[in-house]
Amino acid sequence: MIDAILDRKWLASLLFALLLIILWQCMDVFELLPSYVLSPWDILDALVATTVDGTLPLASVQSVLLQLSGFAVGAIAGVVLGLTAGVSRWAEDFIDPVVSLTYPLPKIALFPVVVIWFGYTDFSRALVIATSCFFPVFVNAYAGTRSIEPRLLWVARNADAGKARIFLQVILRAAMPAVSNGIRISLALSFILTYATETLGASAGGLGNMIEDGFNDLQYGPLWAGIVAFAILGLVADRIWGRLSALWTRGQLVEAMGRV
Amino acid sequence: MSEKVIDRVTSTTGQEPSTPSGYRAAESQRRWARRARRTVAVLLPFVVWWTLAEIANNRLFPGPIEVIATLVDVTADGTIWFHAQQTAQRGLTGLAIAVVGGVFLGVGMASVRWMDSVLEPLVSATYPIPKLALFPLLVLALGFGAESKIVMVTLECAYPVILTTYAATRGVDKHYLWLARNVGAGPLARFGIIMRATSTSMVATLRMALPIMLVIMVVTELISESRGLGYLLRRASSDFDPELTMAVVLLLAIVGFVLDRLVVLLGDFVGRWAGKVQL
Amino acid sequence: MERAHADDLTEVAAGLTHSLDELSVSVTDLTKVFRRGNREVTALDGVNFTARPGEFVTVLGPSGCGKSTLLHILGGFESASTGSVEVFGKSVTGPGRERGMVFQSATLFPWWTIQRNVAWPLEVGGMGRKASRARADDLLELVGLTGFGDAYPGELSGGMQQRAGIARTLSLEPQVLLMDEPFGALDAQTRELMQEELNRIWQASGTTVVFITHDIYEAVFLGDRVLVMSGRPGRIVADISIDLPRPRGHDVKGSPEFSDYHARLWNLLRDEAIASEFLSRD
Repeated sequence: MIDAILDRKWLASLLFALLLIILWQCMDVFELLPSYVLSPWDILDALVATTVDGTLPLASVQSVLLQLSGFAVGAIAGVVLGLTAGVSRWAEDFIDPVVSLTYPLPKIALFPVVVIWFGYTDFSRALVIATSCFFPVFVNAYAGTRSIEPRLLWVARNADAGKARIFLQVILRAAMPAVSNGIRISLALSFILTYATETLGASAGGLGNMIEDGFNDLQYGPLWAGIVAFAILGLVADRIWGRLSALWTRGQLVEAMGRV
Repeated sequence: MSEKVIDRVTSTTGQEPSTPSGYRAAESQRRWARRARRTVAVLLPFVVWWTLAEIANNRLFPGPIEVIATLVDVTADGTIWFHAQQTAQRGLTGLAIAVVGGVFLGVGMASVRWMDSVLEPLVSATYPIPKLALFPLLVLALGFGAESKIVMVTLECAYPVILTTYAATRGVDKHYLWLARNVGAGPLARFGIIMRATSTSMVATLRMALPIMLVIMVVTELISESRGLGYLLRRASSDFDPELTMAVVLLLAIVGFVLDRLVVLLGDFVGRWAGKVQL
Repeated sequence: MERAHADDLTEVAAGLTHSLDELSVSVTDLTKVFRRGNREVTALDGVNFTARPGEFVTVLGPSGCGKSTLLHILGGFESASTGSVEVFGKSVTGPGRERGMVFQSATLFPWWTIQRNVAWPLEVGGMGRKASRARADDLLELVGLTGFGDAYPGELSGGMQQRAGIARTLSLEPQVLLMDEPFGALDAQTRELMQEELNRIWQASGTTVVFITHDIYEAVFLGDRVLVMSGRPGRIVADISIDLPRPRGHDVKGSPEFSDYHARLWNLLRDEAIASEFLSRD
């Protein structure tokens, strides 16, 4: 019996998670939880309540719009520059040193600087999210392009393929798994930064602001609803990207993780 | 692989000088050209920054010279040391807990069946969740002080550590472990073998976790603190002191760069210990 | 060691079998010097050989003797330091479709199906999508992979991948097939099967083949001629015609003639192998 469950990994962990949730609910029944830890049932209640009064959907849309705009700009810039640096030595010499120097800086530290110029606006937020998202995508796209198997290029040259064709049909395809990994890391990062930038400064809107307000006003319902919404968004975005990238990396080996 | 792809794609044979001396001259010329371009690439952003600041001539947009001078000032009078020390102490504590705990969990998941079945899918599934959103709860539970930040850093950094350790341990050549059993080595000795075999990917993991640690420290200190570099950033920003703000950013960049180099050095050291030259 | 002049051999070849007065492959005084930092390593030192159209030439040598370098120069992927390399009278200056390369590993594009991999060189050559795929299916049939066109390379065994790799190279319709230890990575049984297959495919296609190997059995079984290379610096120390009847089946390997060839080549190779064994330790 136990063997059969352990063989199905998802089933074992699902049962384990259920057990934890039941335990959590029981702790509430015996009043062992502090006031700010809601029981699973109360969290569900809060989710329904904030959905019905419209605050949760509104905040989610605001957050997703902010996250998507920053992420898209950063990721696209990362892919374009990463591939360029991987393919051209000139571009590499100009881009790589700058990226290596700025890479270890926690990009969120730029937020207070940007705020001095543009205030606590969505533009400032998107700018910082985009900057953060650029780096993992760039680093992985660059590495993916550079680490292409040289014999594959020989095969292409043997067939007398032109430069544009080699770039589109060989280099780009070979770099796809690495690019995908970079984008996946950036996607996770974009949610962290969306939360961070929305929490800082008043009048932000979005889920981060909802959580922050809940915290300040001791409104634990909206606080938990915001946290759960963030979790669901992060998970769903990751799953969607996983499915999408599986389509165009078919046949290729995708490593579990690229560089953050 | 140091050659560039397109260079390899486009280079037609026969362009290469056939005499050795000609080849060497061309090679050294190319190397100098590269060095020159790379130097320009590092200096160019500073020059652009300086020029823009001169043109703008605005108090809110200081040039690189003013910012570096400010950094030197606050370093000299010691104010920044206190904050930097606070940030480093908490960040590194959280990171250390994440690494030690993450390695044990990762090795455990990879070698104990029930841990694999019960924990691995949970860890993988919760990996993309932005755990930072839990910070308000940690503050409610542990207060605004050091504890909530250390736990936050641990939580965010542990994930990559667990998952890479898991993957690396599963990738260890089974024959090493069989050999160890064959000569009657105990579980501790076997753990030692796993550590040695996975040590280089551990360093790579540390290199991944380090920037995460810095991000989390800065964010949590920006949100709620009266000490640390993040706090200094927020205060300088709300005082409309762009010079100090940018000086702190510069310091963070330097700290991040130095820490990253240290990990690379550690990687060289570990690589020699593990009998592989890598990183 | 005899160093035949290309001109002499041209006459001989023209006089003997072909009305063509050109040689398929002609390598004259080829040397290749690599630079490693300040050190110079001579990989090839005065290599001379020719091949007639449709001939199967195997190049046999110890590891590290520069066999692969020779083939890469023939393919146009590396350049000669001195000397000349001509294929059908044209000097080799870069890669070209008339010289098809087959590498040790199949190097298929992992992101495309087997069929698309084989059809790709045809697409590059300007053939339409439909026609190129039909032609790819024919080639897959030739190499015994009918029904595997929709599989991805990662789903096939090493031997099947190598078959697909050969089919892809054949789609170039090369005048010369350059094979760099194509079966070196395969297990013993698969290798023997592939050798027999290659014999069949070569006889069907009629191209010239230059085949690199360090396996004496393989060299004798496949080749019309075996060129024996010395250890570094590589040069050709013997050129031996293999007069075994065609088509050759598996039973040839048991014949006394086969054993004689093997013994002769092993005697030639033995000293070179010992030398390279100790040379390769640096």
